[in-house]
Amino acid sequence: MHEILLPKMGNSVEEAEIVKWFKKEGDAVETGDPLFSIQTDKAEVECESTASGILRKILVPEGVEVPVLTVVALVGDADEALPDNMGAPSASAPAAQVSAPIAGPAAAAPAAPVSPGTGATGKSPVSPRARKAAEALGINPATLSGSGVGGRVMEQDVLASARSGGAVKITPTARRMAENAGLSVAQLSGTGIGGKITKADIARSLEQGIAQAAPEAKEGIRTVPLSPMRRIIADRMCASKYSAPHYYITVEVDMSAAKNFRAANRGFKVSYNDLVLFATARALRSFPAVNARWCGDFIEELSEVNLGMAVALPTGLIVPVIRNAHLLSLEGLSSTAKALAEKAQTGKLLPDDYQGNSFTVSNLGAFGVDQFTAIINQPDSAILAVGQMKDRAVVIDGGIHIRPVMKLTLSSDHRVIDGAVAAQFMSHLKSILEEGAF
Amino acid sequence: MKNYDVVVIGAGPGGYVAAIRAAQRGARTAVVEYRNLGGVCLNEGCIPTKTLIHTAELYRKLQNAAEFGIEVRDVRVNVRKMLDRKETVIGINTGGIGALFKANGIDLYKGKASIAEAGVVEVNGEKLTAKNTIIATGGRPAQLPGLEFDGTRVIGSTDALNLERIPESVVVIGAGALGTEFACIWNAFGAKVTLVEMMPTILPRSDSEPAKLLERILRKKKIDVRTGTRVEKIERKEDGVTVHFAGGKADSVDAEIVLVAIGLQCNSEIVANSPALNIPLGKRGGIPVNDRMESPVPGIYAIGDVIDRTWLAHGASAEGIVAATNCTGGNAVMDYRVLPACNFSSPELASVGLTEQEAKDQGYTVKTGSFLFAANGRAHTLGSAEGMVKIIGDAATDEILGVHILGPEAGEMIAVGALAMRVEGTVEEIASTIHTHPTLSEALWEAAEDYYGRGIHSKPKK
Repeated sequence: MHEILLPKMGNSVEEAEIVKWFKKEGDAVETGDPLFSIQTDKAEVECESTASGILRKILVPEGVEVPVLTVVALVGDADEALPDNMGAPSASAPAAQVSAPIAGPAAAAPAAPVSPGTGATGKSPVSPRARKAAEALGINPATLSGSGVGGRVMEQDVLASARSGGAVKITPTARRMAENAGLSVAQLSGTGIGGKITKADIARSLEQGIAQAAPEAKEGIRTVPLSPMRRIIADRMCASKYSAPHYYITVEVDMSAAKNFRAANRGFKVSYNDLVLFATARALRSFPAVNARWCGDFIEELSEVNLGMAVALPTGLIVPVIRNAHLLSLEGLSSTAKALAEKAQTGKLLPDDYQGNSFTVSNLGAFGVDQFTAIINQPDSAILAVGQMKDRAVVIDGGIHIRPVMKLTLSSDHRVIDGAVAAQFMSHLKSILEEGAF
Repeated sequence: MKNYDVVVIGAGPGGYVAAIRAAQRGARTAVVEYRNLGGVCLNEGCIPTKTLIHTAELYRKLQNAAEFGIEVRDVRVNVRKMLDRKETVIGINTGGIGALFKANGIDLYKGKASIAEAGVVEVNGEKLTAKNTIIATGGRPAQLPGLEFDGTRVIGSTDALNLERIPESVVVIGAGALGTEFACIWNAFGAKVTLVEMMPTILPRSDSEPAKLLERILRKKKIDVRTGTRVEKIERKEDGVTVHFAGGKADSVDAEIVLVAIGLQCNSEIVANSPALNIPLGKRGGIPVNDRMESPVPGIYAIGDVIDRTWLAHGASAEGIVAATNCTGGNAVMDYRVLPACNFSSPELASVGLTEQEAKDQGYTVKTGSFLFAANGRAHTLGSAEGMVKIIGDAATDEILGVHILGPEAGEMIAVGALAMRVEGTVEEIASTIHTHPTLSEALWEAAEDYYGRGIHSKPKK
């Protein structure tokens, strides 16, 4: 019997939710077949089967979050006996049923349990889903005792705490009504004594909910349910725009040198965007103050340039990251960018491919946009918005000339980057592109 | 002419509470009352009947004292003393109200009030202007055609409280709260009691399960309970009456007296005599009001028995607080969902919320839990182990829809059910609450556990 593990997708991902099983128990699977998809806190990823045979047992149902390297399914022969301890996990207590733990990076036998406490570094870890639920319910997760491996606070711990009245003031009947209806009470305001949520409040909310959930009743309006990606975009953009004081600086770049460079190097196909990325990585190397992060009590200036590049997808967008872009040659950067863009388009990005960015470049030139302002892709402190390259009449030494001009706009977080610094950075970037020193 | 913010007409449990609340809220307040303070509740209702019931219970206990190992000889009833004590208790309570009026700066006018026009109350020829008037004139025992009270043979509850002797035999017409209570009092004192009810069960407003159990208990006490029975006619004779029945058992019963306890009539003449107000009265004379206790005439409120709703003293008080709040700038709405009530029969039958039938009629998927006092330790120590607790819940949420308690101290215990319902508790909250041992309240806990099919002291549910 082969164990199918939740794959480890880089150091930053500790757990993921199984979104969908593509096969059901009893189906035949081949190594490499898409078996299930997972949702991390940044993206949805398809996972392939690592064994061939019959999918005998799904151990982690859809919608349940488990740590990486958890055994999520068993693949074996049709008549092979299932191990005794692999009972059907119930959806209500998934984490307790899953025996596999978080393995350290050097773990040779990933299924070996890590004894509770090894992962604990002083205070109990909190799963991202638990943190999210805690935020929604107004609960401090640090006050909870976790049921996960190593005392990790899981989402169900938060929900259980909410049910026991830890957070929201609500009458027992109202709580049952909300549970029956699958209604989240975190956002409701109560009309009972001391703001307690009562039956009447739930009834009112359900009535309004029914009114809202009748899209067909509204003529000319199509209701689009939110995809996980849409939710992530919404959350992250709001978080950025509402927390970081944005300001914008635009420069016009004469791209004649870049154009000449491309003409002179037809051997390998480098795009203008590649040139901008390359120039940006180089400029950032000189301006660590722009390649920086706001950390609340301090600012982190990063020596590594991990360059995010926004890629539009039919259903949203994703920002794969070119690691150590400042160390790459133009060729290397170009081929990396191309590979990442392709992976993004086909949904094959792994979490490490789109995490750890320190600066992001967004290019809408291909859509005929001259100039725009972008929202900072946190934890970055700045983002470069690239417009289209267009021949324009420019005045040089008193004469009118036609030059290919590209407008670059930097959005900066003023908490981290002051205007003069941003201006110097843009001026430096402009000179790299205009000198054509690639 | 004196000017008031609030004039309350009637000083019963509705009116006097409304007056105190209005004064507390800063209103210049007056009360008009032509009789003793306290209304029917204190003078001819709750307090005097409960005094007599307690006395009757004491008498029964003394008669059965030998069972408890106490030998008492020559136990006799002294009716005169009994009535004196009743008057003493009434006096203490009504005196208390007078003192509260003084303490709250409320002016009391003794006399009959009339409403000359909206905003003007007249008493003893004196006109009081009232920004707001609260009518709390109460009710009186209703009379049947052919069964009019004569004070000696055919009597109402007021006469019954002042009987100078224990009748040898009595027919009680109407097995509501009042009729059942008097049947139990006279039964305890040794009278031959016939209790007649037109509806299929006694206490027709109660849940039928405990009501039927009470019926059996009363029959065991030798009360001749006749449900589904109508009174055909009454023959008044020199030494008593003959009551002819129809419906159930069609025969006749001779008795010394007949108590007619068939409900109440609203004292709404104050409105009927004021055609200018143009307030239409309901059946039994009820004044129509909304749940803010407002009549159709702005500035005129009505509460208690005169609006023909709860027929309960504490219902009137709650309505009084709503009315007083609203006529002093507040905004209150009367919520009748949690309105407990107790019939002081022996044993008592107390309830709050819906009966099982009412819950079904309102479309709930009903689930119930019950427990008999026969399996409750404390009930046996008291020598009264008859009765039951029944909890009615909404199967979807386990919300407590109703609690019905038949048994010793049921009237006290029902407060817990009322509180649980008030905070929108579920049956689980009662089940997970630790109850004191050994107490009668444990029966409530057992009923809650039984609701989930896991009662400790009851047989497993099949």
